[in-house]
Amino acid sequence: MKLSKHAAFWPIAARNLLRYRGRTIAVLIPLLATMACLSALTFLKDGTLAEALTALSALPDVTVQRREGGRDGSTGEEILGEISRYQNVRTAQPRIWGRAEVEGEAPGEAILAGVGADLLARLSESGFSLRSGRFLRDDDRGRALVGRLYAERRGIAPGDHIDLVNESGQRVAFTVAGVFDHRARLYAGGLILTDLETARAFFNYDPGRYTDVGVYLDDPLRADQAALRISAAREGVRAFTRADLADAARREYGSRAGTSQLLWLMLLVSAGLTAWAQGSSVSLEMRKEIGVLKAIGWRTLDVIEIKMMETAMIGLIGILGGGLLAIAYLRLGAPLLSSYFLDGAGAAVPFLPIRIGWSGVFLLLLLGLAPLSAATVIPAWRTGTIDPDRAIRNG
Amino acid sequence: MIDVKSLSKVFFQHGEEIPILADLEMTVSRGECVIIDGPSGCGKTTLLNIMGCLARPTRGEVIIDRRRTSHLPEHFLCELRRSRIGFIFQQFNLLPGFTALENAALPLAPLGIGSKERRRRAEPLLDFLGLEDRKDFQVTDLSGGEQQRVAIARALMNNPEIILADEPLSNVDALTAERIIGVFRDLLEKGKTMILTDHSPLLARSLPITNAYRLERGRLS
Repeated sequence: MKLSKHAAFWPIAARNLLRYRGRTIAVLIPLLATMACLSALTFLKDGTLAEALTALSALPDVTVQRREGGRDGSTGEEILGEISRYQNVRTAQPRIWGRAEVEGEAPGEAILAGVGADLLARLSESGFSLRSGRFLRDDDRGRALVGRLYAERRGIAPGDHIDLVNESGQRVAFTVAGVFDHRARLYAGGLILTDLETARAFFNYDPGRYTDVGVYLDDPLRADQAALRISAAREGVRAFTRADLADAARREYGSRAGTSQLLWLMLLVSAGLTAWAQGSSVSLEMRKEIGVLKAIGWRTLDVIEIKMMETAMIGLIGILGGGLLAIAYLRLGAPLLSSYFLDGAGAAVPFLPIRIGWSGVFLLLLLGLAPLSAATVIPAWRTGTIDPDRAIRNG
Repeated sequence: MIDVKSLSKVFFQHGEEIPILADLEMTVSRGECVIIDGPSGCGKTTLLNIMGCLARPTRGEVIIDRRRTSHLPEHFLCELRRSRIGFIFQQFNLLPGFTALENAALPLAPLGIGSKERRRRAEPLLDFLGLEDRKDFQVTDLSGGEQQRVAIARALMNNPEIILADEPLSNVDALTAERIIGVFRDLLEKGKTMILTDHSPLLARSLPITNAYRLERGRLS
């Protein structure tokens, strides 16, 4: 097959789109709208998932929580001591963390996490780096490390004071000891680190109680075994490996995206049906034209190729245009979508995590082009296979 | 060159058989000019379409250069239509939204000829047909006669040996009719084979007709 033949068809396909402006616009508008929504959702899902997975990399090998009366409860010294004695456990570190209201010029929420001296001393091993000031010391009380993005947004520097409000509505002042950075923007933008005792006082935890315990292993490859053993040791105790949490994140954001994607896909199919209607029963003129083209020596495959080129052009305009609209929409803060998608985490995420990756783009191309191709090529093929005489006479 | 043997065509409508052509026999040799006339609706267009490989007969066969076209698969028929046959439709069948030049050059596109070369090849033909100042007009902006000449240019674009013209003068004025007859005469002088349908005497009077047939009630006489 000569390449020049395909090249010769492109301008004709482009002219066809202009000749049938009404049909082109009727297909393009719903396609653009649908692809914009699908793209926004895909970029946001991929971004959120990537961000979540990056954040998970800084977590301990196993995270241990306790259920009390069917809800997350606090863990205590007894669990901590027991876990520390297990084989393969290098260290078990208690943590107290939760949401904290931020007061000041840029109100919002942050995650305040209190960690023990051992963990504070090993922050750099978990990917935290110091941008300014200093890390916390054993005896620091009422001091905090804030993330770079958080500090930049509020113009905070070491030595400054920040006010956080706990669940009881009490305002607690913290002195900023340092500003850290982390490749997970979730931490750099919304995490405040403090010592264990300050966090205990902030969240009103009883002495010897913690939110959870982070377990670091000598052999992280055996994290599954360690998690199983910890879970089985006491009733109500749950242990998650990093892989468990990653799976949970994939399921959570996958299902949120999946539900929406399904809705938009229905719209996409309706765009395809519009194209189908325009291409088959409605456009008798188009069928007659196919008959004429065949009468002057075009093959059925030539006709289908032209239709595929038209579809590819409309599809690419729809996908690219939809993608650009999605980026603009996401840059505007993705009203509606962000609250739905980042529900539960949105308050602590001061940015929209967006990722435009190959897999997402491939998915969008597939979703955009497949129904449209079927909707335009099949009618063209059906018309192309009948005698030119019949196509011309009956349209 | 073209043999029509025992050719019949039946249309089916609402489960009912409507015979259009019955047991036709015809032979057209290279360089001949054959005219088929008959009243409206007698099947002239259907016969021409079958001879031009645009439709298949219900029974019988059309043989072009010893090839039984009725039995050839569709892609062979396309090739035949592209390389050997030029078809001039009664209703022109030009594609709206394309210019006269683009319409005339359409048969060249499947040959892989780019738009510049298509233009280069179509221009002299349109000039020859007196459309030198209408080449870049949308076909919908042309008169009936001009549209017919564009349709003729399109039919001649691949330099076919056989030209089939379905009532080529029925939608044109007298001046255009004369011009078209002049073009046909030219083609016959170049050795082309022509099969025309017409129910006006003008073509028969003006062209060197070698055989004239009358089609009535599905039969040739």
